[in-house]
Amino acid sequence: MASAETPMGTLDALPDSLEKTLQSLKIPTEQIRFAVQSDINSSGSYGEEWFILTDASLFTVTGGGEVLHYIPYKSVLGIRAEVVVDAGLLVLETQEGTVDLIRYSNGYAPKFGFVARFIGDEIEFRKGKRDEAPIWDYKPEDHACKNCGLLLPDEFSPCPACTKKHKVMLRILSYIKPYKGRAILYTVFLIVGTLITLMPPYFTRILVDDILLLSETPNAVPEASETWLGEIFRGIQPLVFALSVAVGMLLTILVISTVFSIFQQRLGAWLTFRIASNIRAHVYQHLHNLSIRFFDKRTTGTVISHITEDSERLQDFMLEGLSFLSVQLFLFFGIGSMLFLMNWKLACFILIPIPIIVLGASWFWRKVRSLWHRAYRRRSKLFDVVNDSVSGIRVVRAFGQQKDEVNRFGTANIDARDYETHAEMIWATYYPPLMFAVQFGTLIVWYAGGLDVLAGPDEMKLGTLFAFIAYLGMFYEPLRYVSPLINWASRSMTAAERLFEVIDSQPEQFDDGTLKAMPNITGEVKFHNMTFGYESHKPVLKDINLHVQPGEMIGLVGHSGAGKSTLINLICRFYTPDSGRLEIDGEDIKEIDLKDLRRQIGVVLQEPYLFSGSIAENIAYAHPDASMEDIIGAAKAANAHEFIVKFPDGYDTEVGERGGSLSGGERQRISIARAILHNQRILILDEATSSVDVETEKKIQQAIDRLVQNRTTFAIAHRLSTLRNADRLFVIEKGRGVECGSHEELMKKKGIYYKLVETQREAANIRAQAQTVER
Amino acid sequence: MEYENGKKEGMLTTDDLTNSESSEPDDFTPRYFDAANLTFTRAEVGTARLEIQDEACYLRVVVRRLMPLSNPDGYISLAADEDTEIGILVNPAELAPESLKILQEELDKRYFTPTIQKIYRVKEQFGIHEWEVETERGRVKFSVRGLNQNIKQVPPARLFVIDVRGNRYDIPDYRELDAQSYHQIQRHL
Repeated sequence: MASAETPMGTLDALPDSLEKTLQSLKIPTEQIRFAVQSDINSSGSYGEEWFILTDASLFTVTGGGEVLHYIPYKSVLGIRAEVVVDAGLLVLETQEGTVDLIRYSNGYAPKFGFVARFIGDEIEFRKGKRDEAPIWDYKPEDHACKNCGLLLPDEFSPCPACTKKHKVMLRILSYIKPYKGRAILYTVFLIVGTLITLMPPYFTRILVDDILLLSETPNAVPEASETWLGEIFRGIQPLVFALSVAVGMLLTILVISTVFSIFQQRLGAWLTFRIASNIRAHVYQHLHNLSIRFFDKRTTGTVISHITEDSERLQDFMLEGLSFLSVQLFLFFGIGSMLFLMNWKLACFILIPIPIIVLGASWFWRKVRSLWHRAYRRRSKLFDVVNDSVSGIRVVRAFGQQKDEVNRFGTANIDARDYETHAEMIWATYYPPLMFAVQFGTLIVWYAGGLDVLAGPDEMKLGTLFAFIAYLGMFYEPLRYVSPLINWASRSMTAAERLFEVIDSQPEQFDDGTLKAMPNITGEVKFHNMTFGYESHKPVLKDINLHVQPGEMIGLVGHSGAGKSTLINLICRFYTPDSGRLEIDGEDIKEIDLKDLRRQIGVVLQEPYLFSGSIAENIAYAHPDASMEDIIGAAKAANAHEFIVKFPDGYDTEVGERGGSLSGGERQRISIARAILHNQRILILDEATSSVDVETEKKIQQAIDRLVQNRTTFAIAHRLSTLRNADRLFVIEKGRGVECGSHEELMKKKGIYYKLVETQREAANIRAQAQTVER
Repeated sequence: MEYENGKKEGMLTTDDLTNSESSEPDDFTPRYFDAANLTFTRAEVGTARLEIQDEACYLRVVVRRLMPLSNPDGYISLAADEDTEIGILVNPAELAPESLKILQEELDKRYFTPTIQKIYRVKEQFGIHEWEVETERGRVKFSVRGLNQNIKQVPPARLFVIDVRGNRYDIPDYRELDAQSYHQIQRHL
């Protein structure tokens, strides 16, 4: 039997409870080719159901063992995985009619999609319509972490559970390596600077206790010493002298700490921006090596925010947060020990409000943060409304909807107002009590310390109390910000993680030494039983077979969504086929060095992308060393020269963002000139003439005719007349290649192509008639 | 087979219809059915079969809601296959009870989206929120990544939660959830 040659596969392990059913059906377990579990039962509730394929039959069973469908394999005409809203359905075409076989949720869609494709292929193989038996190569599409099983967004993502936060931190720090010396210097500055900020209160103590207070007890005044200093200051009151010395010391400390602060912050900025820009550069460079699939799975916005916002967030944190955090941490412990050294009894009192402050502050920040977040969402909704109506202002006016738009804004505005008021009022209600808790600690110290001072200088001196209070302020300060700081840190770490996610993603192609360098391809392209889908359970192209000779021009024809652009994406190797082969010059495209391949493929798109720069630079894109003669030659061949010379700035004309200052036809001809200069072996024209008027189209068509000579060309065009020069037309219908041949051959065949041509002819006639009427 | 023939018959009728209509100037006028003319039956193989009185019979009718969110019970599009609409039924409630039942079963098959009735638990771990909820289709656990991107709000208070595997769960009005479930939503939104 044919199927014996295909490898067996069991997708899901069959539970024991089903064994009885199999026995009653007289099916030995060896006969089971595979069994697939679903998570929705036929009544539409969550539950277990099984789809089982044996050599002779297909059947579905409930988890309890009740057989729902039993269909002999030979009566099956076709099978498909139908996508319904938020679920899927395996549908069987049998000789008796259509059978809805089994339902499953979206999570099971890839599995059942594969099953449908496999069985479909096998049916064709059994009928002899396919020369190769399908291969059982199902790979689950769930991207779970290999370590911990956590689900990941795609195959490119690192596991957040296994990349520990401190590891991320270490990784950020690894970017410091090139600047080791300065980083050490920075740390030294940081530590010394912090130590210095700890000194002023200590000197205040000396100032008060040993100098100012002594003036009240004149007997205690020591004589000015007989040292050289004493000589100098002879005649000056010793206490005034001591005062000047103490103040002088304070001044010195202030000066030193200012100088330190200048150096520390300058160095901090230098280091931070270097590290951040290095990470950014690394991310950006890596981004360009990633597979197009990576970009499919993310919006342009996400990718851009990776490079801009995430790195900015990381940078901000490193610049301000990190040093703030380390200084505060250092201060907290530094001061804490200082306080205990100065007066451990008093220091015990200051611990009392700490739990209240920490708990209160973290509760408070959590509450406020979610409120702010909600207010922020309302605000951005408000901006959306403004954006919506301002960018559509013409439409609003044309429909006379000003009033409604104003009302829409009013509603959003009031909504935003209410949420913001609420958030601010909550802040206003709870922040002062938090401050109160902080100040309460100070009150305790004033009272307890005051008692000690009253008890006499043996217990505690006034200056000590002053210093104590001053330190206390510094001590409580970080506590208030613990929660937002931790938050800030963790958000920055997440940002860093996202950046590293890009860096850790697999590049498009690994060169493990087996890649073929192909600097000069001839341009032979061959598809062999090639199947591909952006998600492998939804094939967009099925069993494509096409052999294109070097220099041949192939017109790709089909309805929109038939798979024409996908075919082109595969030739460019933005994606790789799911099964079958795509060969260039007889080599599997997967084996060819991408750099060589892409260098020899030229693309002219419907919306040509011009980079900001001059026209000459755009034509010479990817060929910076092209001579002016080359550029003019290409422009001439592309019918672009004639309009370029008319510009005041000629070839130096800036095309600006997306070539805004040029018309569609002009941009198109520049992009054709670019392709001509590039001189590739394989050329792709994707709707190159569809966005221009008839007159311009003629010019572009001429340019294209010159361009395609001696190049293997794949052209997509909605206007079939554009393809009149094609050697062969390849008609794609719902992902399958259905017709292939010259225009004349296909017209004779009266198939799909014939119908398309007829439809367009009719449409053209209508247009012509309309134009006559207008005249 | 009966079904094959029936199908062909049905297809022929549609072809004839489109052909006769394509020459008419109002080819783009939607066709609205009178519920009295429609009969839904269950074919032997389990698919829904639609009979339009004195006109045609479709073996596996495709049913679609035109307004699945705002009016799930009205404006049902009936189609011969994925691409060929036969017409629109504005008010299915006017169908005969057996027909209505089959139509509703078919709609239920096409629109799976479970409705969350009770939220037992939402637990966050590494940016992935594990939900455990009760739906009309039974109790289920699922994972949602990045709540902001994967909870879509339809004003005023409808929420769609999209899990990592692309399944969508509906909360028609989160304000009407019980206190515990509401609290879970509030805590994470």
